[in-house]
Amino acid sequence: MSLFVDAFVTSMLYAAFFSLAALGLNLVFGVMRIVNLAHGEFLVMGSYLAIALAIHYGFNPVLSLAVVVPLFFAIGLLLYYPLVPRLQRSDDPEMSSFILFFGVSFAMEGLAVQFFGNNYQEMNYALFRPLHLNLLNSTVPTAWVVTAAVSVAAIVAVYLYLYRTGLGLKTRALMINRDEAMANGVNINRVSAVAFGFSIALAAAAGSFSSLISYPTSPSIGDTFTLISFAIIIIGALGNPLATVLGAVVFAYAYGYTDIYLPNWSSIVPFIILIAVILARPQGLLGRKAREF
Amino acid sequence: MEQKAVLEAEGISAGYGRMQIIWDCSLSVREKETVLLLGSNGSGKTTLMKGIMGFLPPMAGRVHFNGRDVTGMRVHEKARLGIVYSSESSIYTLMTVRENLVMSSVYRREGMEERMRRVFEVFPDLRKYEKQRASSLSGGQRKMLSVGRTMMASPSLLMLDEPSSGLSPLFTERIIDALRVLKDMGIPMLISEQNVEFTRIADSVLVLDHGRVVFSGSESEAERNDAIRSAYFGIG
Repeated sequence: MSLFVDAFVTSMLYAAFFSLAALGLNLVFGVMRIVNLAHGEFLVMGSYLAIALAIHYGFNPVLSLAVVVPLFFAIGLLLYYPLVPRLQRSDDPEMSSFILFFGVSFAMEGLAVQFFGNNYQEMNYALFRPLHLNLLNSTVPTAWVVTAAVSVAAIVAVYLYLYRTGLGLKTRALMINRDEAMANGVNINRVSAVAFGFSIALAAAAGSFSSLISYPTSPSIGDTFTLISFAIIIIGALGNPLATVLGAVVFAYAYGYTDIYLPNWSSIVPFIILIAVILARPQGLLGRKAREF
Repeated sequence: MEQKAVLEAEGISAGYGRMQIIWDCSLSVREKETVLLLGSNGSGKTTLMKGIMGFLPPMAGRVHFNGRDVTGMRVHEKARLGIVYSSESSIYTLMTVRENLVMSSVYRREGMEERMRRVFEVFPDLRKYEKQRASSLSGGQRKMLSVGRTMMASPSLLMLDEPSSGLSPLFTERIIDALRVLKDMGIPMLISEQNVEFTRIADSVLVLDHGRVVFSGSESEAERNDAIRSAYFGIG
């Protein structure tokens, strides 16, 4: 019974972190109908920056968000204009985005090797005291609880942005009916650029905590995060940012329970579920008929 | 006194990719005027409307709005000048009715609540479903929402693409009544339709056939034209 509860609690914390990791990818797909295959690399870059801030300035990851989030939001804004509008003028923006961001991902991985080397780096757990907390009768690292709490706060912030602000209303308008949004006066490039900036900032924010709750940071780990994020948003619903949370819950619980009861299967079962969802409900668990908004 | 032209489109040719659909079409809409663009399915009405609005870049021709050349202007820039374009798909199905109405006024917030009150007066059903998603509305209610949204936008020019498409005669009548309210408010309108009932609110009529303007005149001249009587009024 204790193992079962441990798996439940751990999966819950994973689900929150995976939601944050994948949220930005879904936001970009929803608004721009493109797939950012370099999403995981931005997460890795955020992770390196947070680790550097911890080593050199003693910042814990929560404090490092004050630097990571605005910096990566600005990077997202700067990258949007030379990359995305050109993609959207192409005959097949989705396919073009796969190819373009595949290239961007390789370039970023190369840059990470150049600057940070190939070794694994990790954030120091001891930044959080006490080292462990009791949650639902399960003992878990405080760092995991903080990671999950920050992730939930970020998800709530995205919800408030989408549903309680004027810019969020325009963003949703763009997701639902692009032509109509333009006819209502929405400057699609401006709204999309902000969404792209948010997406990169969310990835980097997840990266600030990634080495505490998931994999140690290395240049090559970005692909894994992109793959997990992509699986999560497909399970939830492509193009619906808040469905990411459901996708992450399914993915995390599949991973968490198999990791405890069938450890050899822990990296296989979540993807078997992904295949099952694609076959049974291609629009995702919370999706409407494929791409119908 | 001759009214000033609000919209002037001269020699518009447009299409999809390399496929040209309309050739050398010209029209104008004057202040307080309602112009009906009449044509059967596939005659090029929507292409002409989209070409004027900028959804399709015109292959040839110029568009002037209130004397200003807006030919190469992007759709959202034209919208902010006050050109409101509404088509069959002009609602946000995943937003509530209220959010749909607010989105129409997102760049013209002044007097928004007053306009919303007016919309709810004209379409009481919309008030009833204010907090429901537009996807839960019937076809007719969606069309009411679509027209309500144009009222919210406080347009300087209203372009409506087939407002009666898919509607029963009863709902079509309600849409015509709602458009009459807009006409009485002095809003210039360009309406594309294949339903001849809309001539009742039109000041002038253009007939489009195979991508070309084949008739241009007043509503009464249209009714006297033998070819149009035969094709659209079922007389002849």
